[in-house]
Amino acid sequence: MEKRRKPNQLLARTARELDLPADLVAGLPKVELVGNHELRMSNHRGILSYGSEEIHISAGGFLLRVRGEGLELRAMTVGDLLITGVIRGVDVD
Amino acid sequence: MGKTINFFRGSVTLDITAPFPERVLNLCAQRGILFWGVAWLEGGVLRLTVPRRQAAALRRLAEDIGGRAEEQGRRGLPDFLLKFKRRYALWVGLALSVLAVTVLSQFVLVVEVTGNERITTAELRTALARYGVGVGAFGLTLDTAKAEQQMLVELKELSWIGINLYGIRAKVQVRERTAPPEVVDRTVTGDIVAEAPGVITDLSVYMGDRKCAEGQPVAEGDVLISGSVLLEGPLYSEQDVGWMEVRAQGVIEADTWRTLSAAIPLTAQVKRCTGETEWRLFAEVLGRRVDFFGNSGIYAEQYDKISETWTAALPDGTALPLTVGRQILRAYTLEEVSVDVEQADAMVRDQLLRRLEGLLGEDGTVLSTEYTSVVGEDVLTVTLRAACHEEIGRFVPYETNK
Repeated sequence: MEKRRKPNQLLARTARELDLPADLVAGLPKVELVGNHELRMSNHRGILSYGSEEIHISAGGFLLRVRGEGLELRAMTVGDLLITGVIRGVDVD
Repeated sequence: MGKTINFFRGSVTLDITAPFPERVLNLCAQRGILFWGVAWLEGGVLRLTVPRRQAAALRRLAEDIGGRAEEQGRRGLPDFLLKFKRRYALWVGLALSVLAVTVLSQFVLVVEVTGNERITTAELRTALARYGVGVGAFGLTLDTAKAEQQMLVELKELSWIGINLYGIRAKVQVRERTAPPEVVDRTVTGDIVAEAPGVITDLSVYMGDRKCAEGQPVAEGDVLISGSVLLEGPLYSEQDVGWMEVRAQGVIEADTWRTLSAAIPLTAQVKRCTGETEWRLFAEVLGRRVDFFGNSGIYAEQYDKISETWTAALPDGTALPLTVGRQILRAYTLEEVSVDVEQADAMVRDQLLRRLEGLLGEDGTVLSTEYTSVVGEDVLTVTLRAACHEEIGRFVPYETNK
């Protein structure tokens, strides 16, 4: 099972300063949107709420809110998840 | 692809009722439980589908967080097959089917013979069975090459034979030898004589000396073309060179009159059933007969054997080597009864006509027929007089002639 890594502010800053990929170095969440029908997320911290129109995902230091229609959690592992459906918006709080 | 995999490994749909249902998703991800088809139902119930093997783990997970999991349905091949778990007859039938496909298909059940014209199929089948290529032979141990060689040695009329096994079918292809042309031995000299009396209608002489002319009546045995040829001397010579003996050859067609007669007794012995009937059952499997002796016993000399059989066949009509039958043994005695004269007359006339056609051969024709029937004390005599057109020349060598 993939082990979850805690975000490290120092590592995040180092990655930013050295121009290295923060998701690999510091374990920061990475969100990938494919068109408006597929959203992939790495290094998530879990689902906080789930519905066909809105899904809330914990991203460690912030919350990712996915809005849309017919949203469905297609796959989820300890580090990655895949959401499909018509995605209308993604908010970061 | 995913649907196919899920079909083969099976899936279970569960409704999870828990204080924090979304936690179930996170715990599933942490514990490596695959899930899909997530739906949020009313009343905080979470519905999701997991692989069949992980359903128990999900139930435990739900209990761990103070909730419960209710099964809503199962899909996939494993659960489909489990429905038949206690259907023993089905499993036995399946096992027998597999056995039939794997083992019985190795036995030869049908022997197909093609390519034969002069040699009969029955003759070929009998010879093939003698060398192991018969119904019931085990295909894996069958030495077809050896059987082919043995067949070529036994049947001289064969020039080639190929035996191929296709599952339960043994396809036998043969090629027959081309018959050598008939060679006329010109060293044997002789005449052509009339085989039957008649009036010559056409005369073609290929070799020899013509002794008759068209329109001339001839008797049986008359020389039509002589093998003794006169070698005439040169022009203006008064002496001939001599005689030369050749093999007379030619075609002589004539109108002939044939007379044939036959007699039939007016009494005949017929079978009369005594009423004593017994039967026995039998079965033939792969060419081997098994008798079940029913109520049969020891029989008198005179009894009829009547067999009623049923042979299993494929939907395309191919007969399988499985026959079930009943043999009826019916005792009889012989009684002498008088024959119906009209029926006997018709039968004898028919036989006479067939005999005449046999005598004339393929080239001869019957022009007209006339029958005379005479009923004697205990015999019916029928005479056929027929006008025919036929080839009447018959070669007679001089040695036989002399």
